[in-house]
Amino acid sequence: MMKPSNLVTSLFLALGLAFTAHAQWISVPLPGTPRTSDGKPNLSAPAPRASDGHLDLSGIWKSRPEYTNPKGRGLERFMPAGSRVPMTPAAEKFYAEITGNGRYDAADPSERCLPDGVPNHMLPLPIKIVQTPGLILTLFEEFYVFRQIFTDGRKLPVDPQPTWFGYSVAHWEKDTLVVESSGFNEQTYLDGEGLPHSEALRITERYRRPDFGHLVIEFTFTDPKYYQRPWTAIIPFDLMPDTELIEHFCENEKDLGSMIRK
Amino acid sequence: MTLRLGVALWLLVATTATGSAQWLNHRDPSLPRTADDQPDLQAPPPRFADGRIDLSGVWMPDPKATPGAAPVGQTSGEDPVIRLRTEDGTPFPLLPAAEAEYKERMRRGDHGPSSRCMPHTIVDAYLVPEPIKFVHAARVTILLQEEYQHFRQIFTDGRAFPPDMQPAWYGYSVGRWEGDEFVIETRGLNTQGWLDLTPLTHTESLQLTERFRRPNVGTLQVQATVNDPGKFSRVWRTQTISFRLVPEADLLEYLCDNNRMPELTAPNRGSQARVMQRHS
Repeated sequence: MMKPSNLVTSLFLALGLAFTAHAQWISVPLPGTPRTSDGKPNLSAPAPRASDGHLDLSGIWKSRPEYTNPKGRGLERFMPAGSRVPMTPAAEKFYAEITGNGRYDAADPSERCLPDGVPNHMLPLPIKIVQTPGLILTLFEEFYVFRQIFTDGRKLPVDPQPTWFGYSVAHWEKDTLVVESSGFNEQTYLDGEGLPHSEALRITERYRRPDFGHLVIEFTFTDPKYYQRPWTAIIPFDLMPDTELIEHFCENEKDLGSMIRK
Repeated sequence: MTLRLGVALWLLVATTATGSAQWLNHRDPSLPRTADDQPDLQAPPPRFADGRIDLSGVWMPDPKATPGAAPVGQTSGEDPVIRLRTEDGTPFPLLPAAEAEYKERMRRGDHGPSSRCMPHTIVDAYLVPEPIKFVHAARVTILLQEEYQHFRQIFTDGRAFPPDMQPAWYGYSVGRWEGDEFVIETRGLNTQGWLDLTPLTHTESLQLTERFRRPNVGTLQVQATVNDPGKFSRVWRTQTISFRLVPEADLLEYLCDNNRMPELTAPNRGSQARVMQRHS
């Protein structure tokens, strides 16, 4: 299965998933979930805390298409109203080319079963955060791959081998988890529209869980090659209570002939 | 892909220069240490406060400590793979039709799912020299596989299997601690995965039990029980497969791109080379 790149595909996926959904752990009452008097998850209850006192971000989350800047494109829609992604001329040129002549679908890594990186692989399919002391995992339903975020005090590698998900370390600032990442390769785009980045990209993510059912991630992107200054997009996520990820592997052998890059 | 020595050698030669800048040497304060400040791999295994055994760590299958390492020549990179065996070394108790299929697939030289970027599942993920990582969380244990960046979830919250499981590559797994063992029961596997690196396939009726032990800090062992009346004449157990701890290091990112788009595979090649470095 490919990442939905058009409405037909999206509909097909939605119908397909809906058809098979009853046979999974799709409806499983999870212990530790606060409930209202009628037994339903209480999504406005206080956010849970881990045994070490920090907020516990664990749960299955899905981004919510609630746009602060609806006239923007892609990630721009999650920026303050009226703002633009501060692209450099190099980024403008790349962006215009990749979206202007139909190349984007062929170049999008997920069309070849490869991950979309950060943050694009977190959108819009479900992610599962598993928080343990010293390590937070993000499990992606899409392609069933994972990202590790270390909270054991280690520093980012100095000269990392570039990777699809980069290298991530995090610390807590009161009730906000601050994730710093670097070491990304240049294969991915920041969003589904094709916003480019270089290997110099650094991302700061600030995770807040204002209540049981909601997560807000503030992404700040710094990449002088493609952006004139750091810029920020704030994306809300909703908890998917009492359910589980569905195994979703991608097999592109059959479609390989039509997937030509450049 | 894992059995093709030529490819592996090519990867090794192409990429040995990229090994130093990862989290391959990260001091782990939780490890017991010897007098000379090295990780004490012979120390008793770690436990949770309630006494359960803790399998956390990065683990590499250890052919030297496992009966059935493949003969010289069948390797992935520099390391021998492990050939699955029955506990007592007798042939797999295949039913006649299953045996005929197995022989035909062997004769044809069928390649396993990983050759097209699909996962090594259970038990074959433990037979290749690719590390795994156990992460215990409350109510769930995650098994990370370096190969292709895939993961398995093993639920320990007491849930039962779904009543009607959509067949899946990793199936549906629940776990429990029994004495010093962590026991994983799995159902609902699809028929795409192989049990061995040879084409030992199974039906959707397969029921797998994995029993993990950690006799000391540096050693992990697993023995699986295979129950598939559609393929085998009896329930059988595998040999005990051993892993060695890869201390103070971590998994490397290793994604699979079908080996057909050279401009995209550089990161993968780098990862593979670094895996090989870590072995030495």
